[in-house]
Amino acid sequence: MTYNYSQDPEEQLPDWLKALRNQQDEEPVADETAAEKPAEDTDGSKEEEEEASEIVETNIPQESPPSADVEEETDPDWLAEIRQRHQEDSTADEREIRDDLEDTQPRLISTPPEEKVEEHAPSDEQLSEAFDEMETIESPEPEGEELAPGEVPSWLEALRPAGADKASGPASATQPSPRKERKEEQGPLAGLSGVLPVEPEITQIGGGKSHSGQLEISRIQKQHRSTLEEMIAGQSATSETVSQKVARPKPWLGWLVAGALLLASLLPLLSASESAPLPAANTVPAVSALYDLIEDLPQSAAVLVAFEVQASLYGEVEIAALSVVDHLVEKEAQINIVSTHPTGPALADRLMREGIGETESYLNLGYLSGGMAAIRHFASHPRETNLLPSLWNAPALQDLETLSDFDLLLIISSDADDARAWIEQVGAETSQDMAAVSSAQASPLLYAYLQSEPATLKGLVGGIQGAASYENLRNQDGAARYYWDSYSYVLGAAILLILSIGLYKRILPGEPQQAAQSEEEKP
Amino acid sequence: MSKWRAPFSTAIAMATGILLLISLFVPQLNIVRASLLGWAILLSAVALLLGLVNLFQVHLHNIRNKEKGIYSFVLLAGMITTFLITIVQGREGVLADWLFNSVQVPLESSLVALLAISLTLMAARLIQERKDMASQIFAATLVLILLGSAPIFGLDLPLFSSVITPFISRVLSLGGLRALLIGVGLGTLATGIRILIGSDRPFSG
Repeated sequence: MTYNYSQDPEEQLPDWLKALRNQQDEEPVADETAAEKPAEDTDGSKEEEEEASEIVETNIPQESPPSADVEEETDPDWLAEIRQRHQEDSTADEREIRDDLEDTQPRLISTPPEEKVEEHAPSDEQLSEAFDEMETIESPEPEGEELAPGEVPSWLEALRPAGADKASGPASATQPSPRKERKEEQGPLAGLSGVLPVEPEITQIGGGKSHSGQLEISRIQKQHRSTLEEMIAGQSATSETVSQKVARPKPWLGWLVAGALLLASLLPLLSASESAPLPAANTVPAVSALYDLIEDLPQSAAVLVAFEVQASLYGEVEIAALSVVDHLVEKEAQINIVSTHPTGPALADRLMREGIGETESYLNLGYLSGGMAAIRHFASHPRETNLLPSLWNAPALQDLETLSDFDLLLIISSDADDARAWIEQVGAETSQDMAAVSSAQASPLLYAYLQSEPATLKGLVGGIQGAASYENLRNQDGAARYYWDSYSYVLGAAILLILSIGLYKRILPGEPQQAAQSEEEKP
Repeated sequence: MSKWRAPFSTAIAMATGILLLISLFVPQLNIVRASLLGWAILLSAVALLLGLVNLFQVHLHNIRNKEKGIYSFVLLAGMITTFLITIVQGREGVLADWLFNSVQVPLESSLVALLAISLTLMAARLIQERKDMASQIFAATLVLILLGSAPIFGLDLPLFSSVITPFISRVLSLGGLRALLIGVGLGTLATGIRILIGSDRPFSG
């Protein structure tokens, strides 16, 4: 390591301090190193001894006794204190350096055994170069013995920027640091420690930053970590299944429910009772809207009916659809039926023939295979779909090219998804009104389209309740009126059964044995 | 050849989807879209026929292995009989019409009627056995809806039929159903995008 003299702080000293320095340097300096020269003089040559002694001399800072007279005459008190403290510090530093040199000097002067020299000994030129390098490192001016090596007092050293002294101070060059304490094991420097730098200089500038191997995370990150760990633990941990024995329903209870419901439905039908009041007209806006739509249809209007009804729910949808379709027939509308259900065309025929009693005023276009894709295709190209082609040549359909040519699109559906497919796929292709007749279970979903803005559906009749309201609007008793009382009594019976069977265990105290058993079964 | 099947089918699906998407904005491509949709409709009809064949094979296998053979035999007998009669007479034939209206429709309607009985029993047992809050709310909502759906034993209850039940079915229920529709729409959109970019390949096995 070389000392950068261009940054010597002594050059920045004031003149009066430099004068003191020069005066101090001119005073004789005791040569203590000569006395400490080891007596052991083995096989080394004389030149090597001299060079080694020179190295030792240059490594040891020359102790300069304080000139008390000058200080007393010229220095102020504060400077005297600083100087005294500096002398104490420098004396301690020198003592440490001296101790180190006492350890290294004998080995430096002594030569290794011949065998080792033969094996690893460098040439004389290499040896001299190594020593020259050492001299260059330690003493920039080795020939000037009377000149003390540039030393910086510790009080001035303290004024340096932090870290600079570690990198390039002369004191650090002489003081062995733990990082430099590498012991040479081979060659002429065998046994010496800290003679050659272990690392390049660039790695010794500034203190090495120690990196912790631990992950530094914040408090929030710790919380996230714990939350994630809890989630993972919750996923892996199997939840304890709480087994609770539940008594199987008694067979007679099922028969009781079936019998009560059957009785409640049959009694009004057999007695032809019409005691239950129909829903008031205009109480359901969606029903009234559909009624108005049909009322406003022109004479012989073309109506497309999408008949998406399953056989299992046909009984309910039939009641809801009869009054509406009958209204269409009454208005002499031309009804064209299409269905994406395989059973749809047959059920539509049944509705028209048995329910309405019409066989002439409608066209059954048949089954439209393909589901939603078929609806989309039919909406954009009605005549190109694989329906019965001959029907398109019927007089009522000859002038119809697009769905917008129909006056009304009526969706009769038992399932909400089927109705949704028609609304979404056809709604963009037609400018005409759309309305729906559905089962009671499908109507809540269709209300979303009814109340949208702009409304996709213009009218809706849902279930027997909607049909009863529609018949009330038309002042006509139909299938809804016929089944309305039965529907009313079945609903009442169902409510009574649910509440009585469900609550009797809670209201009435159970038998002692059953109570004890139930207590034991609780986890 | 098999190693090319998946990329080939994926490429066809992506190209078809993108073409149909573009055709919605380019009117000149309407013919292409109509042709593709026509193919899809025909394929779905073939798929229905394939399902029929598969059903036949499964139950024939059951009869041969004597696994509930009697039920499979009845099913196959009914299926073959209906198929042949409808093929011979057509959809509007007398016998075909009778089979449909007098056998299939009453059978399916009876199953739904049984559902009404079992649902009533299950609702009673729900109140009986389940004492948690969600079950109680479910049961209470059920009773309120039933009370307002029609006059009970011929007696109209205006509070339920005009206020409570409409509020539940057209406000609370409608809110949930609209959320459901939005979810369905977003799910459909996501599925379409996944197929278009090849991330989802349900057709490649």
